[in-house]
Amino acid sequence: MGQSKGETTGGENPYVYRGRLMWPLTLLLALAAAAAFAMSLGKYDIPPADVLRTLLTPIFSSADLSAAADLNHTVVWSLRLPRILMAMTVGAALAAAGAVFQGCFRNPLVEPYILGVSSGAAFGAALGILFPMFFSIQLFAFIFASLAVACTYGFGRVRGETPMLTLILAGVITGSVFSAMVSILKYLARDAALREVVFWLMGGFYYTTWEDVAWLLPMVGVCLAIMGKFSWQLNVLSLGDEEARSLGVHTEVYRLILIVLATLVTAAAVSTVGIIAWVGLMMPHATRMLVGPDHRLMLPSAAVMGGIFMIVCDTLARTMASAEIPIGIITSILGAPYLFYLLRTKTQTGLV
Amino acid sequence: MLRVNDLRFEYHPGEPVLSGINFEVPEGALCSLFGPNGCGKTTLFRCCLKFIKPQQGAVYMNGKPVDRLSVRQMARQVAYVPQEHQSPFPYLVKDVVLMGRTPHASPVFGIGRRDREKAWEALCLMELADIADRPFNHLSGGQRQLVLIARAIAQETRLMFLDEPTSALDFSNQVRIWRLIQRVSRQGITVLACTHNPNHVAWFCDQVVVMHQGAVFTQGQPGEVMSESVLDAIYSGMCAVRYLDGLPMVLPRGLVS
Repeated sequence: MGQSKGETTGGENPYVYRGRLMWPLTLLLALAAAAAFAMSLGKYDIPPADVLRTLLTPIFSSADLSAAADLNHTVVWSLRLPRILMAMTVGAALAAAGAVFQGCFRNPLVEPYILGVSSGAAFGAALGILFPMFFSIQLFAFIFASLAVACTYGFGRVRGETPMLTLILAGVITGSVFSAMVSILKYLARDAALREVVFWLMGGFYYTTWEDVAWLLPMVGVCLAIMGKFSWQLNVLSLGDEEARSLGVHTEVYRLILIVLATLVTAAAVSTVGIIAWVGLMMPHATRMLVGPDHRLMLPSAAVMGGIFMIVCDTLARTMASAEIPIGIITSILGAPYLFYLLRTKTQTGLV
Repeated sequence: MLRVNDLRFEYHPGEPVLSGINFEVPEGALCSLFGPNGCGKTTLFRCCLKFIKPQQGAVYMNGKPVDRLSVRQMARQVAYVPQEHQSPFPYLVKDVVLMGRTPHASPVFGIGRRDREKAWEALCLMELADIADRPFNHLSGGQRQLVLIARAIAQETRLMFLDEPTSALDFSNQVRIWRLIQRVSRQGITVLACTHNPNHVAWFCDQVVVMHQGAVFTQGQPGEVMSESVLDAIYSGMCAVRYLDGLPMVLPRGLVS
């Protein structure tokens, strides 16, 4: 019966997703291209061909021991590659965290920074920097980031619902409290530590080392894989509690898992490179326009978009001026108008 | 199929919203839950769906108490069609319908081929194939209701609950949706639909549970139950009932002689 109906209406089975992998593959290529360009650009320009040759030396070990090759090797392997991997990881983490928060809170205008999660993580990490003997930076970043999510969600929930703007205001409140507490820490800090905290807070990849990449990349990778595993549940969760339950998704369990993962990657990113705002807002939204809202496709694509965006921003940060610009400044300058645009164009139609 | 036993629910102690609720919906019936605003229909609905927990009494589906069912098992027993659905994201119609397959999806592989086939069948059954690729948020009220019913059909349950399925629709869409609900019911799915329109009960349903002030006022077949005396009691004498070819028509009193 169903079949004959389908024929009479002339509709083709829409579940045959033709070409649905086109965008993710294009994005992956773009990511590779962005990384390659980023590696060749900088204070010391290396032609892309030489970058490739240098990257392949460990495999082919062509004994090109000229001075230039040696310098290229140092620049690419010790400075640019870890930094680019770090930018990619952090971008992917923040974009995915943004997408997960948006889905869980049914609110396309939130992201880790707007929810106050980044500020919470920053406070925890600052505690860790100032009192290294007592605290682990990453652990405290995670604890305070979780506290910030709980506060924002608690403040923003009105009679079992979290209205869009109430949640954003709750995030502003939480964020400003934690920012104030970070200021207290800055006030108390001595010279060297103060410099470190201030610099790190502005966000940047200057001090990236292979050690940072070595723990952040696998951790974020695992978290993103688990998020991807639950991307269908995220679709259902975004319909609201009662509908999700009636569709067989245990809302409390899945929301908790997903929010913990998003908080974890945010805290990891913030504790390593400082606060980088707005990425989690812009990338999911842009991705939704490209691949649609289905999180099975959107979540991985958003992560890749985040990686590309962060590599581009970081390359701008290192090459635009003679001194490095903190990357948080660049993303904020781009992101704040973006939120304004979203608020103006999308909230009335309910179609963000 | 669905049995409610001595159910009692209160938001504040001592002020029961529902008390002593007893009724049964036989297998395959199209039953409506009817009553004036604030009579406890929605609360009863939410108790049956396990969204809220009653203080006393139990709900049985297929002979099993719903307390013992997990969220997933529950979703395989009963599909729920909400009154309205506003998603913050512009999901496509086909994705909304596919979400009905969630309780059947493999825990390891997620939504699979069989799920997509079932969703496609549901779309075709509701004659929605043409709009499958449109965003749900762009549809009219009537189309949205159809999509949500298609999602419930894709869920392949033996029970379907509909909350005010036609409250926001124009007359032709009301009739269309009720005809579709009748079609769903003829396929062997037991339907419980909340409504406050007495004519819809009389015209389209084969069972009715009339609620008044947090209790079941009466229940039975609409032809017998939807009488002037019953409507007088719950609507304080505002209705007149006339019969057209044996079908009750509920009209405001004083409009006809």
